[in-house]
Amino acid sequence: MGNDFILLIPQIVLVIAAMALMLLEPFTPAAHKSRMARIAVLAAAVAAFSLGSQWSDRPRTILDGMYAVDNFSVFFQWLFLVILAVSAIISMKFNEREGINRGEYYSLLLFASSGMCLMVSSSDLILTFIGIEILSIATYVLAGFKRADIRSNEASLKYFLLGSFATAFLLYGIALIYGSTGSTNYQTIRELASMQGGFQNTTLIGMGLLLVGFGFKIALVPFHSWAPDVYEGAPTPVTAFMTVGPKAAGFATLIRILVEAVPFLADEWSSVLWLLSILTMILGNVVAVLQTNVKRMLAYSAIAHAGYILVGIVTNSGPGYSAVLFYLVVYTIMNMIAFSVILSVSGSGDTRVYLKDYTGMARRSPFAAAALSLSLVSLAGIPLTGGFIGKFFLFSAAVRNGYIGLAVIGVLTSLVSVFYYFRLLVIMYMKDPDETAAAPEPMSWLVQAVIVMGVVGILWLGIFPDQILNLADFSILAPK
Amino acid sequence: MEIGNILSWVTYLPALVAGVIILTPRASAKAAKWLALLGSSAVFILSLHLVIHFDSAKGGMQFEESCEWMRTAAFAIRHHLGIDGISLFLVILTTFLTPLAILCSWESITRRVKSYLVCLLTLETGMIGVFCALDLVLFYIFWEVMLIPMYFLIGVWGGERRIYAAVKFILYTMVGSLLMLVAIIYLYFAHGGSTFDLVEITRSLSSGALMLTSREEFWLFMAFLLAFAIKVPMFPFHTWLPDAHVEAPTAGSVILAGVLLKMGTYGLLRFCLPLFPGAAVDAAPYISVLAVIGIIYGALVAMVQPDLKKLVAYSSVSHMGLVVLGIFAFNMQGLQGATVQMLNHGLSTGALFLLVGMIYDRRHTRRIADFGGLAHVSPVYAAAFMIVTLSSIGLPGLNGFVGEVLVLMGSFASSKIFGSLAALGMILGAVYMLWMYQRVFLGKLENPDNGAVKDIGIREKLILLPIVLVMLWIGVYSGPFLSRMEVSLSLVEERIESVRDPGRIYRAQHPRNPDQQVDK
Repeated sequence: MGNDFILLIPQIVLVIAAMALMLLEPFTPAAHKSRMARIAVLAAAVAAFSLGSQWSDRPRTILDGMYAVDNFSVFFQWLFLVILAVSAIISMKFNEREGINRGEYYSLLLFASSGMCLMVSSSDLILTFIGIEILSIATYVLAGFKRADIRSNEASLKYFLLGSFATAFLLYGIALIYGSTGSTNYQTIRELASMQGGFQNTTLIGMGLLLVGFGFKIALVPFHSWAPDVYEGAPTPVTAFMTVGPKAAGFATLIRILVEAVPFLADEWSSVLWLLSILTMILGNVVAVLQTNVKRMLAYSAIAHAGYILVGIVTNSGPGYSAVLFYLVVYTIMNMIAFSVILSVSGSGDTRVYLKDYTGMARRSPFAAAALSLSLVSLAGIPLTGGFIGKFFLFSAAVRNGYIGLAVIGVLTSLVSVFYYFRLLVIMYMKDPDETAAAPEPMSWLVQAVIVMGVVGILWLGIFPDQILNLADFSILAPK
Repeated sequence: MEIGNILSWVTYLPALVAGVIILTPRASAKAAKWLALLGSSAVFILSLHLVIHFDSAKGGMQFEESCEWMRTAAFAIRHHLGIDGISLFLVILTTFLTPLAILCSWESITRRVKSYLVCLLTLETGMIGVFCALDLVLFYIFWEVMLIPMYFLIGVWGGERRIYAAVKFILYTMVGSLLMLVAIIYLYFAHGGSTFDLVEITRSLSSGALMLTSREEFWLFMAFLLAFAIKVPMFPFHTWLPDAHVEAPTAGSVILAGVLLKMGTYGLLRFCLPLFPGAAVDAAPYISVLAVIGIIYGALVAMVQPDLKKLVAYSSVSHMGLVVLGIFAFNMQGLQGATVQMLNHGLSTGALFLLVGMIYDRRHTRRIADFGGLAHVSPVYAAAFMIVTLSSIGLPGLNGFVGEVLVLMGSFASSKIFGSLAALGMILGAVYMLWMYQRVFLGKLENPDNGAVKDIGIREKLILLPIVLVMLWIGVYSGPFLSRMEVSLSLVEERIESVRDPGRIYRAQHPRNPDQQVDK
């Protein structure tokens, strides 16, 4: 038991830091609220460090099989902790500007992250559900953190109502699976099914409902309708967090359930996900073309990217899963850079988020424009960026497993995406600035450092992706 | 003297110079221009080493270098460069035209000069990379990366409708290349998932160690063909070209016409024919029809253009159709003619765009109707224009003649109808070029604005002189060029012939040495 406790330290650190921030908040003078962000970053660093010892080639479970300790969960927890730290850093100046620099904000970020970490480590449906709820409730509040802003309120309410609806689906699915198999533990579900030599229809229905629930969480078409409104209305750093964190957590959890609990349903779920992936890629990219609000455009792009990532899962193969892991890393970097720039342009009130606000930006702030361009080029999947390598591996996994149609649709929809990503490039580089265009506010050195690291990361992953790919290869859950 | 890794040096030196320009933000625009000019000239001199040390008796790859780039559980991508007789002169053409392109924008580009130079130099790296890459993924990466600087060249420094043209350019060319990517991946897994190396895959295909069903071969061929056909551009995929040419700045047009279009025909020769000869033979009649339509349609449309740049752009459609026709004639004359013609078209059309750019700098118009009688005020310019025009229409003694005659001989040998139609296209070419020349340079000076046009200066003469010299050289003594291409092209020809040989399929299915089929 003592050993188990050590393995839980990362979670404990996050939760204690979150509660400490809540307690410290009333005693911190308004001028020093940014200390809260530093505490959150520190907690992320400590948690990431203490995770290091869990990296091994010996996957195991603790707490009576409820909690998995394996490279898959370590990989994703590291990713979440990076997301947490970056979100906290880019939020500081923004929150000061918008007058919402309060400790609870960082506390909620920490709680959300601990929920995500719990989700990927859980190997029991009940614990998974708890993780999802910790994450969801924290993000409902974060989306509405700008209390005085009606758009933020709308985002929060919409997210809450639709999210609760999705949770109900999820819970019903869990109940059906429990009812038909007699267990909520992934491994037990799998073993019982193989002993029975098949599955019951109720398990299949339960799995279907579970897919609906996850479809909501990771914004797959046709369960995506909340995403654009919420991403648009939420404060921009929260949007940045939501497009990467909960999405990656949702994918990771889904993969674990599919691989560890219901591999016997592989034919069924992979054909369902095949369809969802096609719908998601097409709708996300096509509708993104129509957007004039950059946040909304990136919301649809986030939907589209969920479709690409799904391609890797549909293949249900080792290379497919490692491509998913790699792509989630790349995607996180690209989106974080893009949103860091967007929130520096958005100006007081977070309202300058339209394409026209970027007119001629390359002249006024070449650094920000170049960083944003690189992340857009990478999102579009142009070679020498991580985005290309990520898509290359996803689509080659599809071709390898005979899903050539999926790969063709994937590349053709990427072509559509080139149109809308490059439109922003056109506006920034090929038009001259006019009076209405805002000069982006100067960024703090910390944000600049984050952006520079991201830029280096994108290029590094685009030119020398071996290391991260091998890391991903070590981290996948082998299909059973 | 042997230089180690010379191809890497030639390929990456321009990008290195671009990096230096980026990293010295304080340096003046003038210093950057000199740096870019000297750097790209150094690349040209370095690339001459390739011509001198090229062994024309060898058909395979030369100056090869290969090292591992990425290795993961599922993939091995190599950084494999090499050139043969097909790519040698295309590399030289690129290194030759880039300094001239920099020189021609010396005065006309005044905004964001450094970014402009960075774009041109990275473009050069991309283009050389395309011609040297022997790993399919490496090739694809160069092929795509090169689009970005071209996109900016058109979009930032272009004419009025530059944004439309830039977006159209990038979307059109990407449609094909993305499908080619899927085909590349498919080929990789069909080959046992061991290598993207073009040389190895070609070897496996020709030895029968890798057999594609005819359906597979057809679709893979089509995916590659689409990418290249758009780039060439073949009729009916040509509509991006006039827009891109008209809106691009002069240097952009020169590079676009001079080198970028060659990538399409180079791709046909390097990939489509050796990898999928069966499908290529089956498709040849259809492709030849499209090529002939392109030749005649391009010429007819060029004839009625009111704008000089548009006229030259459509003439490209016509001339590149001829190159495609030569390639799909599948005989030595056709292949050799096509390869020489790629070079010729790069020189003559590149020079035409340079000349049009020079007059545009002076008059800020390109409408043919605005000119007339220019020979009176700028005789040197008119003379240079005449030489280039004659080269473009294939006058004996200049470069155009060699290529055109070879292609026509080749296509006559394979089909009389296509040969005669192509010859008709050549006549039309003479018509629109000479008519244009007459309207611009001859007659009386009627438009008073033209009276003040200054003749070309030293810088402009320096740009044109080397091109005219090479034109004469190829026209008078094409031996050194043809001999270096011949052996490599004969390998392509043999590969095609092996498919027409009916015993091939039996031999491939019953290989003498069964061990060959085992995956390495």
